[in-house]
Formats: sequence, structure tokens, C-alpha cells
Amino acid sequence: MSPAGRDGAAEPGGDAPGRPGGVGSGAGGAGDRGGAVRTSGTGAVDPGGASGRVNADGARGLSGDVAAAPVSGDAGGGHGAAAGDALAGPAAADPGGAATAAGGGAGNLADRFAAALEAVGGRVHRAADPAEAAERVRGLCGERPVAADRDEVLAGVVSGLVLVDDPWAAEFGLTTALAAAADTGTLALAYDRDHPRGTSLVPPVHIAVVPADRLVPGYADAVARLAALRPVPSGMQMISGPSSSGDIEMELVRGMHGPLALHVVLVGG
Amino acid sequence: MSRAPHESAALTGRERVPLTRPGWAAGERQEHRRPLPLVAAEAVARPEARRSGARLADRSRDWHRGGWPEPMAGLRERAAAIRRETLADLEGYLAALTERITEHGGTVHRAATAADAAAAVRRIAAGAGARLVVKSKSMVTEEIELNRALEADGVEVVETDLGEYIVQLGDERPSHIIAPAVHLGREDVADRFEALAGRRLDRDAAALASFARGRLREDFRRADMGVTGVNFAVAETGTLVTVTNEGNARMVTSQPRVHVAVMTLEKVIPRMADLGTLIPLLSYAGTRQPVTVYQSMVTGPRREGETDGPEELHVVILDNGRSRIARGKYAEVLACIRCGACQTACPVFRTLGGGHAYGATYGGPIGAVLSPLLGEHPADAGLPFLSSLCGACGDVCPVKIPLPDMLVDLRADHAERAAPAALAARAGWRAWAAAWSSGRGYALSVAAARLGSRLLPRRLLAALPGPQRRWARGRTLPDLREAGRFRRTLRALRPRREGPADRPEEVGP
Ligand code: SF4
Repeated sequence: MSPAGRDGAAEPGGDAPGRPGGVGSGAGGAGDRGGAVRTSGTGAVDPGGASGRVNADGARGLSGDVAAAPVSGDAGGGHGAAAGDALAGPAAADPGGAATAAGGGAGNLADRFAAALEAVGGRVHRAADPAEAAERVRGLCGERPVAADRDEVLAGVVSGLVLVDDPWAAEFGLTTALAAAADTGTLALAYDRDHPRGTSLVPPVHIAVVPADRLVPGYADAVARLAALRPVPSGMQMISGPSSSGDIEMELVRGMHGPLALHVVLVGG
Repeated sequence: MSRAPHESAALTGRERVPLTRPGWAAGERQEHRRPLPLVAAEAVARPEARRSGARLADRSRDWHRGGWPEPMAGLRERAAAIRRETLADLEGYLAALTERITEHGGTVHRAATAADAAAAVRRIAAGAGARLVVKSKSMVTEEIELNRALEADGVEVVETDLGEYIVQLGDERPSHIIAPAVHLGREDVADRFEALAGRRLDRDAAALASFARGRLREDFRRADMGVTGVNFAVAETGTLVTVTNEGNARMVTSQPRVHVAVMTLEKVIPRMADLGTLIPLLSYAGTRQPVTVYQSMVTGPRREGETDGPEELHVVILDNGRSRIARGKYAEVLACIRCGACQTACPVFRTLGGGHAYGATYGGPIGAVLSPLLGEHPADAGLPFLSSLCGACGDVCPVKIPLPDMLVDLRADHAERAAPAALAARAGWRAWAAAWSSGRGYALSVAAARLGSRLLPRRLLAALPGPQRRWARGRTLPDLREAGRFRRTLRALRPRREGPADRPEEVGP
């Protein structure tokens, strides 16, 4: 038998690979939130809130240049099939001006984060302050049941929502994140009694409200944030986009066992 | 399956799914195997193999242009170093890992053999009174044939990774480390799901995935026990990391009462920070994602006051010959992070339509090296010959395992074991290599050839006895009476060299 066949070796030579599938990074942005991004409403958000669990900010030891983020990608279909109307919240059509200006390092991180997350099928919304974040979340959830973590970042956000305890009974799971990596669009979460595993996992739609000052440049920086937590939490989770599978003919399908949709509301600039 | 009503919602109706695979692709590895060349010929001839081979070849062409671009090339160097650092002190890191896991309330079980590991999981399942087990994708549980072991005790086991679920329904083994159903087309998948459902389904990938999602969701809630593999185990903190896109590992590690993580001992890594290197690299090598969608990190069972997560965490650490491999000349194969890149890149693997024809747990280049070393089955010694030695596997390996060199060495080992006659041949080649490594030895051999050529009759070969005769018929010895003439001529033409002092000094670049 001569199984080598005609297709031969792995064809080295040529240029860098592209990403398989993926939704275009500039996805339909009715980008008019430039003003919002410039506002620096940190006061009410209190970034220190949840970060009692973060061991200072010295965690960011690693270079931010890890993890390539080739966010080009073509406009793959956004498989709404199973997502049903969960995706059709009023704000869903408005990814919140991912590409609008906003000078300064944080602004750049926010833009990079939005581009990276949208490239893998997530949605990014910008809010100037917690009040606007609450408005965005209410716009997404309406009157439908929401399971929410107990967290100071979410304190102003949950009022007016229909809250349930059991994530299996919820259509939305509401969390924050300890860090968000700009280059890969990754959220870093840690579980404890106030942050159960099910919130970001079981409901079909996950919404994360993240203060913009928790953005870090690269994936390794987000890992470093989690690595600095003491005591080591019983569970930690990195999330980059809605769940997906490529197991049928290697075709990308968005929405598998984890949430079918992921929305991130970045608060502040 | 004796119990008629299934514990599992996802497997209800399973007996209606027709089995279409050949025996050598069956879920259970075969004890009595047909010769490798016959199985390979059969595999190549299947139409499925042509289709899946073409899909993999497309992918490989798209991915492997341009070698390793920055910053991936840099990550690759770091990862290769991290993995070798770990292998240099495997027991030290394992001791630290065990201590940390225990500190956090987990239980560690060391298993010397595959049977020991399966027995450990059976005991845990029995202790927990488990009836339904949900599993997330793991190769090591294939190695220990865990499903069969648990099923023997009347425990139903459901594969929850989409690809694994598809192959489980058809009673097949996974055909690729990270794409278990890569050998199947969507029509095959649709046939299985329709048989299961007893009705027509939409046949596009999204609809089929959604059908599986609905079926499996119920089982995540019902299962008493979850079984996962481990991609990385962090010695520093006792943290077990699983890497997925589907989110099934998140379900399996958070919903059932008991979580059993099964790992081979080389999965250990020194530090949490190493994940910043290894995960983007694994993701890039395996699927060309910047990172996979999920990385789940488990450090012990749920803590006081937590409302979900497993009450018990068990970690089964399997050796199965690996500490022996770690001491030998093939130790580097244990650096593998199971990305599957070498399989996708391998023209032989693609032509065979995936890993089934290898007959072992692991197929493709990594399998052709690892399986004979594990010694799962004597027939695995032939696997290193399922390679064209094109070198693609070594080029795409994210941790720089010299797979092509290992394939050649394993062939030599095999030849040595298989035929003592080969030993004589090897000694002959060695003597030749030694003779020709010096100018004087070379000159002597040339002189001997000239002499021999004059003394021996050119028709000598035709007079050979025995089985060589048929080969020798019509052949003559080469005429070596003029051997070495080119060198002599060249020497005569070359002007005599000046003394070394007259030559300008060469300065390195
Ligand atoms: S040998 Fe290298 S390329 Fe093959 S699966 Fe292992 S890490 Fe990946």
C-alpha cells in the first residue's frame, strides 16, 4: 500500500493562516457611543468591590503580547437557530460602536476587546456609567427570568429585573468578571458562594457587566489575575465567546452546551 | 446494555441506530487484529475516507503555510521548554500536585496500569451509587476503556462532547484526538440522529448540533457523576484545567455530585502562569483559535456555602508505562499536549480517513510513536511504518517533539527485535559508516573494491544459492576495477595548495 497519496506534505511556505469562520469584527455597529466611552464614571462602579478577591494588581507581570489575535475573519452566519428570541433583545442589533474613538490606553483596550470578542461571536455594549449599564441589561432581559451573581458591580444593575435563584429556570445569567483580556476577548471569572458556577453556564444567554478598568492587554495577563487569587478558588473560568462546536464536518456552529449568546457591557472608559 | 429503560435521555433509542462501521473501528479495541496492511488497504478504499481526507487536507493546506509566525513561534519555544522542564522532574511535580489537591479536599488515586485506573473509577462510582455518568471528551478514558468497565457494573455512560456523542451512538472509537467524528459527514450524523429520534430532522450542522444539545442537557442535570480528562494539572496550586469549545466540561464539572478527573501523569505543569503560554498555543495548533471558548480550572470540590459544584473530587493519575518511557530515549514524546495537529498534517492519517485503522487508542504520528511505547498491543510495533516520513508532523508540533526521528528509530528498534538477521546487517552498516568516516578508511575500501572486482567473476551473482537466486538472476556485480579514478583525476588537476599561513583569515559573519 502506498498511503502517502498525492497531497503530500503539509505545504510549508506561504503566508499566515486566517481564522476559520468567525463573525466580522466590525459587525453592524451603529457606532454612536463615542461620547459614552470618554466618560470616566468610576465612582459609582467601585472597582474595588469584587476585587476583594483579587490580590492587588501586581498580578500583571506578563507581557501583553502573548496570544495572537488575528481578528480578521469573514462574515460567518450567526446561527441564531437555537438562540431563539433570546438574541433579539432591543440592543442586540447594536453592538455599541465597538470601533468608535476614545483616546488613551483604556480606550484602546476596550476597542481591541470588542473587536476580539465580536470576532468570536460575542456582543459588546458600552455604557458610560452603572446607570446606563443597568439600562442596557434591562433592555436585553425585559421581563424574562434572570439568575444573577451577588456582586457589588451588579448592585445597581439588578434592580428592575425578574430574578430567580435556579439558573435552570433562567433565560439570562448575569455576572461580572475579574479581568477581561483585550487581545482575545476573554473574561476571567472565579466561583465562590456569591458567584456560583451555573450563572454564566446554564441559562441560554450570558450577560457580563465589566468595569472597563478591569481590561488587561493579553490572555496571559488575565491568567495572571486569576493566578494571584488567594486562597485559590474552587473554580475559575475563562470565557471567550458563546459556546461552539466544529464536530460536524469541521463547520463552526455557535451555541452548543454553554450559552448560545454572550453579551458584555463595558462600564466606564 | 441489559436495562431497557435508559437512565440517559440522550441515549434513549440508541438501539435503533444501525452500526455501519467495520470491526476495526469499533468502540472496544480489538484483541485479535487483522494484519495492519490489510486493514489499511480496506480503510483507504472506503469512500468516507476520501471525503474526510479531503476535508482534513483542505484544513491542513490553509493552516500550515508559513510555518510558525510570531508571536506563536515564541510561544512554541517557551512551551517546548516548559514541557521539558516538567519531564525532567516528573515525580517532584506530581508530589506537589498531589499535596495541593489533597489540601483542597480532593482525593488522588495513583494507577500503575489501565486496568488499575478503570478499577479505581469503578470503585468511586460504586461508592457514590452512580447510575448515570456524564463524560466530557478525554483520550485517557479511551486508553483505559472506561465506558466498558462502568457499563459492566450497570452504570450508563454518556459522551457529551458532540463528536464523541456521535461516535458513541455508532459504537466507534474517536478517529481524531480533538475531532472525534472527523471521519463522518453530516449525512452520517443525520442518519444516526434520525434513527435515535425516530423522525426526520433538518440536516444542516447547526440543526443537528441543536438536536444533540437538547438531548444532552437533560443528562447534565440527572447525572450522579461526571468524568473528565485533564489538559493541564498545575503543580503549584493543584488546579485541573480542561479546555473546550462546547462547554460540556463546565457542565460535567459543576452539575453532578461527584467529579472524577482522569489524567496521565505527564499532564502536570509547574505553574499557573504557564497556562498563559500553553493555552493559546494549544488552541492555535489544534483549531487555529486565538484561545478556545472555555478553559475551566478546578481546585478541589465545592467549598462551604457554595451552592453548586461537586461535593467530591477524585483525581486518577495513570502511569501505564509512562514513567518507564520518561527514563528512556523517547521521553520527549511525553511533552505532547494532545493538540491533534500532527494528525491533521499527516498525509497517511488523512488517506486512511482518520485514526481507526491504526487499531490503537491513539492514531496518526503521535499514535504511531506513543502506542508501541505504551505496549498496548503487540501489533502496535508496526505502527511506525504507517508514515511517509515527510516530516510534516514534526513541523506542526507545538512542543517540538521530533516525531519523524522517533518514527525512524522505532522502525530500527522494531527491525532489531523482529529479525536477528537484521542485526548482522546493522553491524555491517555500522562498519561501513565507521570506515567511510575517515579519508584513509575510504581510500582503503576503494582499493579493496578494485582488487575484489579483478578477482571475482562478474557472473558471481547468478551462482548464488537459495532464495537470493531469483533476485540475482540477470544481475551482475558492478565493475569496480576503476573505483576511485575520479578522486585520482581530481587530485592530479588540483594545484598544490599553499601553506595555511598564506590564506587570508576567514572572519565569521
Ligand atoms: S505530538 Fe505534537 S502535534 Fe501531535 S498531538 Fe502531540 S503536541 Fe500535538
